[in-house]
Amino acid sequence: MNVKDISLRDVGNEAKLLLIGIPVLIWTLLPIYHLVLFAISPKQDAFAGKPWPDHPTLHNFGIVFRQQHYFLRDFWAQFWNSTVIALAVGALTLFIATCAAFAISRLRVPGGRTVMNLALFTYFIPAAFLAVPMYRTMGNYGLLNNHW
Amino acid sequence: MTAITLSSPEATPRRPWSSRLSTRRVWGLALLAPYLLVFAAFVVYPVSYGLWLARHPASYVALYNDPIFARAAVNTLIFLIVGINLKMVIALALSGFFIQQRAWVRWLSVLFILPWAVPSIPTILSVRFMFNPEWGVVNQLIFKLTGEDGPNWLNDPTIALTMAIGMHIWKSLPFWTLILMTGRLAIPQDQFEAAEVDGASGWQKFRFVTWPAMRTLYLTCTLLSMIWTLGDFNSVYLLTGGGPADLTHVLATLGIRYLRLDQLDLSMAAIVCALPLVLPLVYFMMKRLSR
Repeated sequence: MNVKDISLRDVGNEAKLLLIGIPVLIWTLLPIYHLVLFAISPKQDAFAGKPWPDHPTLHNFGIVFRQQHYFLRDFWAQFWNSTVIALAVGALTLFIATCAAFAISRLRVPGGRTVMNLALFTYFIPAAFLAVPMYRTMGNYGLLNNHW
Repeated sequence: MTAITLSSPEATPRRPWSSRLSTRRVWGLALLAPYLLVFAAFVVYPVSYGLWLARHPASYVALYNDPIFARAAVNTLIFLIVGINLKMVIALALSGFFIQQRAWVRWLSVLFILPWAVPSIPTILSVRFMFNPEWGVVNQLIFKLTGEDGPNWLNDPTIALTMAIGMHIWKSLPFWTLILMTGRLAIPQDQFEAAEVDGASGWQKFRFVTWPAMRTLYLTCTLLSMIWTLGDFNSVYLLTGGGPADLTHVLATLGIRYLRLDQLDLSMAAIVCALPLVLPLVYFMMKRLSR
């Protein structure tokens, strides 16, 4: 087999891979591209269906950051809430899970295996099954539409 | 501790309490307690409360008489059977693509994981806007290029459900591709070399080396994906909102719909209706994965 044969076959393989790769790239990025497009389009361009706005602008971000819209008047408070929730959930989950994992694997607590299987079981409960009762419970205790 | 140790020798002749409740065990239980509390509050309680809410036979009768329900049940089945299998087959094929040792394939895999990593609300709404029949980019382009109006996309029940399935695939394909990639990478390379020496074709290598090694993983992933998809309401609810005319609901979004109408018993009943599908799967998965 000479060098030319190998390189020809390589080119063929590369072409086949590209034939898969390019559609995958387009499929993946299209919704995200459209998201960015909407964010940097002035209002009339966004609804005119242009694949790229005539005058890309960061004006929309300005409105958000300066809370200049009725729906956005609490933007920074909401941003702060999201941050607090993300950090608190991350830290608490890590702490509780680490404690439990240490108790099960190192201290070999009786019933540890059952707890592990329960944790696995949690993964198999459809999300809707938990969401509806929790929503109702929060409503019952007056926790909806309330800072806590 | 001391009080227990003093009183126990006569009561329990076999082992004194002090050794049964060693420091190790006390610490173990103490460390396990937060997890068990969270489990009780956020798993045991909602599930039992949900079952309790769905206890009236009358709510199932009402549900059954709601014309939306039959359609939602059929949609759920289509979503599971067509959507999940399509997704898993694509994931299996793409996992073969992404294990190629090339720089650009690696870069592509970084981008490919994005749909799974980004939050679902903005991206799903983005697709919803993109396919708006009047002012969405897609139909405007179709009009510019052909002079004809494009399809009604999300206002046509069949196309809308197809797109909801597409949205679900877009969102969760990267995750399952990643899982199946790890399965492919775990196959010893010498098996492929041996197959190569025996003159196996690409398809034969897949059929007789890759597939036997991946079969179990593939089945596990498919079942797990089915369970998760049954509870997934994002890709339908945010894309079509169950519309047009409530024709694209699945059981999970139907539950949300009743919740918004403040018919909680119906809401839970709709979700409980998925249980005959979920329970065998859960049982099978627990047997498979628990230790």
